[in-house]
Amino acid sequence: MGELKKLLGYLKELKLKPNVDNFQDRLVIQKTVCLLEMMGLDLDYHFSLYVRGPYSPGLTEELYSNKEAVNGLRTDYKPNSEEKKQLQKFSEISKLEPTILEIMSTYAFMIKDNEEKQAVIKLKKLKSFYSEARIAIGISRAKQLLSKPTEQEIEKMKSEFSDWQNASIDDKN
Amino acid sequence: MKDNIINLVAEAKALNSKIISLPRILILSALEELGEDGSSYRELKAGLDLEDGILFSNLNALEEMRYIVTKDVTLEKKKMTSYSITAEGKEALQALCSWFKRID
Repeated sequence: MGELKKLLGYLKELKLKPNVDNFQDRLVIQKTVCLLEMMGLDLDYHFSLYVRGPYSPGLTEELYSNKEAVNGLRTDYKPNSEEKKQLQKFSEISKLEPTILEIMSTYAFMIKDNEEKQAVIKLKKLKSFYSEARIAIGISRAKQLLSKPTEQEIEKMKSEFSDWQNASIDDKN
Repeated sequence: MKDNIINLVAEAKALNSKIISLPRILILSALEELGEDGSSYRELKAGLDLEDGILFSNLNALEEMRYIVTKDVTLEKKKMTSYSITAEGKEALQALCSWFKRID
């Protein structure tokens, strides 16, 4: 059992209006949950790789057995500010496009256990019905969503921020 | 053979030998855990690495046996056919898997 109430709170925050009977809506929920979990928002659903890419049979089961609650987004869960920030980032980067979510989640799942080159080869094989351009967009957005800055990048950002901060102090003086 | 051959043969009679082909076992296995969601034709083709002719004819055969069902779905305004396994299909696959384990 996953954390359905929390999930519904997240879907509400993402302004999704799911209909469990709709194939595309279920796909969007599956891929959204998979990516949110990879971002560190734990919803406690287990994903494995199937012909459809990463998929959680347990999640589908819960969606169907709580159809009314899901369709009506009935939950008392309210995401905190950190969760809201993450959800906003997810929404802005993925744009909640179903096929892009599918590619992003599959790439993110592949890259966990494979080198970059292998992950891309496997992704292209499993999603061979999508164009190279579509796959490239999905990979790029997945990287944008899940990449963590290196120590070097953090140092560079700190230095840039301090320059900006000093400039604003000078302006005030 | 570790098991009693007489029992093994007797149990084999309860199986549907029509599903004992690699594409059919692969299709049923791929669909088994996807439940009502099922999978589209293009996903099965790419994921199982099967040629169109082989996939199409085996999907039809499994549908005739009532082991899978189809329904029309839409993804980003594109109409597709989705295939999902039936309770009978799951049962036949389970029976086959149990029987294979006896051969070990």
